[in-house]
Amino acid sequence: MKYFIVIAFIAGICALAQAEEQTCQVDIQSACGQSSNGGVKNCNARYGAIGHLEHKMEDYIQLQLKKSYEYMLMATHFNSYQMNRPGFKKLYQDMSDRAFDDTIDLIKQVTRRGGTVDFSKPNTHGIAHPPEVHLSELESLARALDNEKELTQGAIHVHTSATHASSESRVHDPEMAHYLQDNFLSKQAASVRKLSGYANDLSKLVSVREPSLSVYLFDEYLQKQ
Amino acid sequence: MVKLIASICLLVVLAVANQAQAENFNCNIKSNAVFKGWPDMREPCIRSMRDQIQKEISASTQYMAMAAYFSSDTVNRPGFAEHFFKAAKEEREHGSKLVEYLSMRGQLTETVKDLIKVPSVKVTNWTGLSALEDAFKLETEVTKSIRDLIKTCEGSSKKGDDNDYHLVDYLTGVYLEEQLTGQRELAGQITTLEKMMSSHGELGEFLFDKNM
Repeated sequence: MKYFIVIAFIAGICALAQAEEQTCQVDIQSACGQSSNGGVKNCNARYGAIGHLEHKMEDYIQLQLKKSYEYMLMATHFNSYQMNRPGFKKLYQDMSDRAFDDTIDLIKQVTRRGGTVDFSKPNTHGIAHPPEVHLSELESLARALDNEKELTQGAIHVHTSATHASSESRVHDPEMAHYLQDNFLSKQAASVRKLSGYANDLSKLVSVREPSLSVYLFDEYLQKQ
Repeated sequence: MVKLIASICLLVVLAVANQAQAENFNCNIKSNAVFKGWPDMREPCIRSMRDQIQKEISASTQYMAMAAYFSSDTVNRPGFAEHFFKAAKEEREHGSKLVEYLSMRGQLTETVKDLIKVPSVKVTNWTGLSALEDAFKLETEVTKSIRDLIKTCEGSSKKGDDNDYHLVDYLTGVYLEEQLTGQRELAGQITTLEKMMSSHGELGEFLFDKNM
């Protein structure tokens, strides 16, 4: 009876150890020994907090893609012969291109960390209600500034989950946090600052009775940026 | 005396009015010179152009989904991934060029708002071969839709009154050219990959990916 208990105990510990050791090597060993080929699902690049970060990153990717097209439409609006503001067109086209490149870069980051990006889900940030893009010059700057803050907030949201051990997960993810700081947070800060400057400048310029010439000159200034 | 008071009152009222005006921004610059008689594109052609723009954007998103799939660590096909990221950029560029064309022709003054929607993608995993085949199918569809677009923009009048010669030439010379060479390239890749895989399976795909 005593032996039986000891054997059962040891078997229990072994089972526990096996259950805990979900490593690639264990997978490979069992697959190569053909004892029970459970696949090599533990051979992956996942570590840290990727489990709860990848969905947040996915949302952020969708947001960037949506904003990229929104900026493209704003650029188009100012490119029409009735608006004819090449400076504003350039500003928003550049922002659209940047958001699109960022989308690709974010996908590369998520997949580098062993995550996946699912494009089959209905787009939560999709343009179900297309934003109003028929805006005046100053209104468009205001909208762009708000957009850039939204994009910054998106990066901060993922960064917060990566750095602060939240109730969801106690795992820190310095690599992801560093990536966001390096590639998004400082760039977003610069972008927000730039647009705020533009919006304030143009606000002053249009607070005159006849702002046509001021806006023309401001547009010319934007072309040279 | 009365006259003096009246004129002072008038001045004060004017000053107040002036003040009020300075506080409000004049955001909308109204122009009475905006002429509307010029844009000469025909309605069916414009509508088809708009559809074509959405198709290019949808193709771009489809390629981006493929690129994301091939980027993942357990699939690990960086050659395919880069190829499809590039394709996604190209398709977006195609869409954007068509948008600019419409602006050049005096369109998109009031109807920009719902020009582009970001679609979701149906398929979520591929093999190297199935991805290339899907890409080929997609390109064939785009080519067909450009052909239809050209037909629409050629109009139906025998005299060519409603023929949009410039757009038709642009689509034929630039877009069809790119579509056809693109299709040829994909078809070639499909044959090579098929041959490599028929004798060497996974090794075929592995080697093909590294040489993409």
